[in-house]
Amino acid sequence: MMPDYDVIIVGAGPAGMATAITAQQSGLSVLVLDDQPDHGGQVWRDIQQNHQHRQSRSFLGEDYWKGHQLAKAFHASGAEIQHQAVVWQIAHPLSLSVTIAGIAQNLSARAIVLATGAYERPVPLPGWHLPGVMTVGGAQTLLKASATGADGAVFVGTGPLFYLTITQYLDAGFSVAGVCDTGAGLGSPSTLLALPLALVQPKMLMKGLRWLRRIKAETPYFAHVSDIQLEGQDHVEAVAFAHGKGRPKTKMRIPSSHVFLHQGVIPNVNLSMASGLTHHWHHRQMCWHPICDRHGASSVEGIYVTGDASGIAGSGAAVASGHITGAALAKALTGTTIPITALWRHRVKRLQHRALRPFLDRLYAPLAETLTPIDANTIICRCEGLTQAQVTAAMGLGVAGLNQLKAYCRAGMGRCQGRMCGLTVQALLADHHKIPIQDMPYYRLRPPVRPVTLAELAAFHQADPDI
Amino acid sequence: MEQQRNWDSIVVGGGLVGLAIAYGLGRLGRSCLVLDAGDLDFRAARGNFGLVWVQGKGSGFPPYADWSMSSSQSWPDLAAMLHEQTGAALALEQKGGLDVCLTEDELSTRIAELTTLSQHQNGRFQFQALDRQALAEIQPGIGEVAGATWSPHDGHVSPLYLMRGLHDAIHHQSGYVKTSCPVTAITQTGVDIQVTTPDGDFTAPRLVLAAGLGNRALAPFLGLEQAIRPQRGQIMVTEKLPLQIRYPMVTLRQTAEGSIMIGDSHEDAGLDVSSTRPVMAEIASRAQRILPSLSDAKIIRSWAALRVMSPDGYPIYDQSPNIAGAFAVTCHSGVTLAAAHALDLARCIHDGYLGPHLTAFSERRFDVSPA
Amino acid sequence: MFRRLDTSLSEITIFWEDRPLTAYQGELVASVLLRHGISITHHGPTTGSRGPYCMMGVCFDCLVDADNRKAIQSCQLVAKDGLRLNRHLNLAGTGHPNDA
Repeated sequence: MMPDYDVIIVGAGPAGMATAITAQQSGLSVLVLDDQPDHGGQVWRDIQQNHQHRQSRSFLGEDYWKGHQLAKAFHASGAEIQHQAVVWQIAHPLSLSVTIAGIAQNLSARAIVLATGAYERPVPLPGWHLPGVMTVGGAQTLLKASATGADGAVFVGTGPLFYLTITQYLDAGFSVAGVCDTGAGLGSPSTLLALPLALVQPKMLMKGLRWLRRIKAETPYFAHVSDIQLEGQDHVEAVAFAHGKGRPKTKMRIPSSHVFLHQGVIPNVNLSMASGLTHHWHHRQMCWHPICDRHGASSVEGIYVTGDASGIAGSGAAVASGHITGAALAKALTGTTIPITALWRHRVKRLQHRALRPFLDRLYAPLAETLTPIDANTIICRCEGLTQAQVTAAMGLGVAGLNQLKAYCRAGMGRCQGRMCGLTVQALLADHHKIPIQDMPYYRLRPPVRPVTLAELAAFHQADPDI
Repeated sequence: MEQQRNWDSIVVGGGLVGLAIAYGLGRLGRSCLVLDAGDLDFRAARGNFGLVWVQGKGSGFPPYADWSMSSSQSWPDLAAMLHEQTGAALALEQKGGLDVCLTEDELSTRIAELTTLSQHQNGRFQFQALDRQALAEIQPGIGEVAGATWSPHDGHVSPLYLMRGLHDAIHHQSGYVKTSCPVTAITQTGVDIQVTTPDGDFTAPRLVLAAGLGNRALAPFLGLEQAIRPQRGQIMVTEKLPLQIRYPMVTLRQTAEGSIMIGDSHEDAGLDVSSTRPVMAEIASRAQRILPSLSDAKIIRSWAALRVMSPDGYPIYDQSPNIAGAFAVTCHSGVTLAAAHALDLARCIHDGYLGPHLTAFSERRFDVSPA
Repeated sequence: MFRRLDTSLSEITIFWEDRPLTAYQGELVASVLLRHGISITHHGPTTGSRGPYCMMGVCFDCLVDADNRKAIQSCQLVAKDGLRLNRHLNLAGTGHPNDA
């Protein structure tokens, strides 16, 4: 049976769009599936719509507008795109299950590319579940998607997205009640050692420094923040924390009903894990990466992973990776090669962006108390409302791993399928067993990786009992 | 605790069968070490639907019908004991259960089967046949089905709370569940039995092999075969929903938390534990036909596990012919039989011999010669 | 309080618990709710009160009931004129019998 497409790409962010452009240009039939109403992924969210109103959204900054060029090229490429398409399973022979406008379909392809990007690392602090607490990325999305923001918010965290969003907030004219920087600063030796490589991208480093200088000048800024508590009953009311280099640290409390958290981003591995790809623990990024070769080919034949979904390197690297994967697909499926100069240009670009990572990953490493929470009241599993005390009690029974722990306390059984709790539970259990975190395997993930209704599933059987 | 090398009993396998027996032995005063394999190994117990089921069991094999019935009748005792000892609430409900039949043929076959079963059991087993109208009265929203058979003996429980409760209770009894510790050899040393593991050797005068599919490789040490094979079953689970399924059905039940479990399949898939689309779609289709009101319910996770199937589907309980005090046990109904295992079977193992009511479950019924 | 900078797009009306709210063409429901000070969209026995957190569909805390569909992620739902929304109440179960 002829596959429906040569290539189906899941995700229309930087990597997905770049893959589509190169693959389509090489004569392959390409379908891109994205779960949002407009393409651009998260980093260039709503780029099409916003470009039309560029004047009133100038606060989004130059890096954001760069996405418009790629989006235009994507449109011009002729690749087919379906928006609000939710992919929930990959099956063999190679096909995927996707729901579009409430109807589930099976689409087959010769190759599937996961360009599913990243999402924010969970930040389990006491009170992080309270209404009014959101991720910094979420605040930025509101800015991009709806030109909407909150006055008097407190930003807690560290990382490029953290400083960028605060800068955008200042440019947009929102008042900021506090910036609690949890970064360790340049102090640590391993960070300094990574600095020379990062100097490959001096402009990016200078940009980061400029952001920081401005934030220090224009907001109530606190450095070396830790011991964070988000206070409130039904809604967040204040952030309490300790800050500074002094010992003991200075205590502080900022009242606010809007708190935005950020401790970096991690690859979205639910679809790749549920599809049987092998993954490895990336020590420096402290998260799981699917194992891929330099073209993005994974351990499963026909499935590729590209962009941040295969490891965090930012939008610049994601675009380059997408083109490289597109080129590999062209080679594998039609035997054609893209001009060698173009391929090398992408490779060099990707190398340059990746060179910055060792430095950024160390400089903006997550705060320890957000990796292994110590406050017994901290919610670990948001879906099931499980506290650190409840999870610890289940661990005390003597469980070998995350899946047995899940059976005993329900952590990971909710709608989010472990996206919000998996890394935290893994860290807590590894700690409990006194083994390195990479020796603690993750939840065993299965399809559907996004919720699907009984009717959608049943319709498959009614349409074709053998499908 | 596990540094202790001498125990009164060792149970190989920390699933529902192993934990229930270990708990039962602990109640009889035996210190019990449970040796369990790894987190990612095949673990039938995690795929369990949670039915405490009697109707239809052993319709071709009366000893199994009796065994299931008596286990179901002692289940409230087990639940009460675990609750008293650990505070665990197992969400046990034994108000009856339904086996829904989609077609008239299915229904009449079912009725005939259960009638025969009831006769064999001298009326001890009770059931009622319900046409669609009668069924609709006790299960509002029932769909295009022919009817169902209802039995007051049936019920359900949370298999996960049961596992956790047993595990907890074993600790209270000063037993110990040692995880990530696979057993590689079993030998007789004097009057004791010795097991070899990567973490060293352990000895005890009683040994129970309850390692599910793992029994196959270890049974020869006991002079037994345990000719079991894997059979895959797939289950799906919905988000938590308001209570709408009052009585468990064979393929549909609503848990105490509100999620609805939807099953199931019986597949020969070797050791493959993937969730597969055609099967999930078929299960969904059947569920939608039984309860159309579930159409918009969202499936948020799926499961597949390997049942431990004997050649005829009935349990295998044997005493080792060459190692005194060693027993091998296997079944695929670990939840229903948990009470029988904890109370009756554990007593037999403690005493050192399987009673006459268990003779029929020996693997000798397969005319198998030990390795 | 959340506020919107660009009010030039055409307006539509959606309803939250029968209360009319102004929305903009193409706006995500979560954004509309937050702009009107509604940060609690669902309650459940194990979760308590929750509202939008990630704005990208991975946390499942921004659930609402939309027209006759239950437990829909409001950050993935584009507002359409006349949409009727309600807080999602999780009426299932009563919590964990095995609370530590």
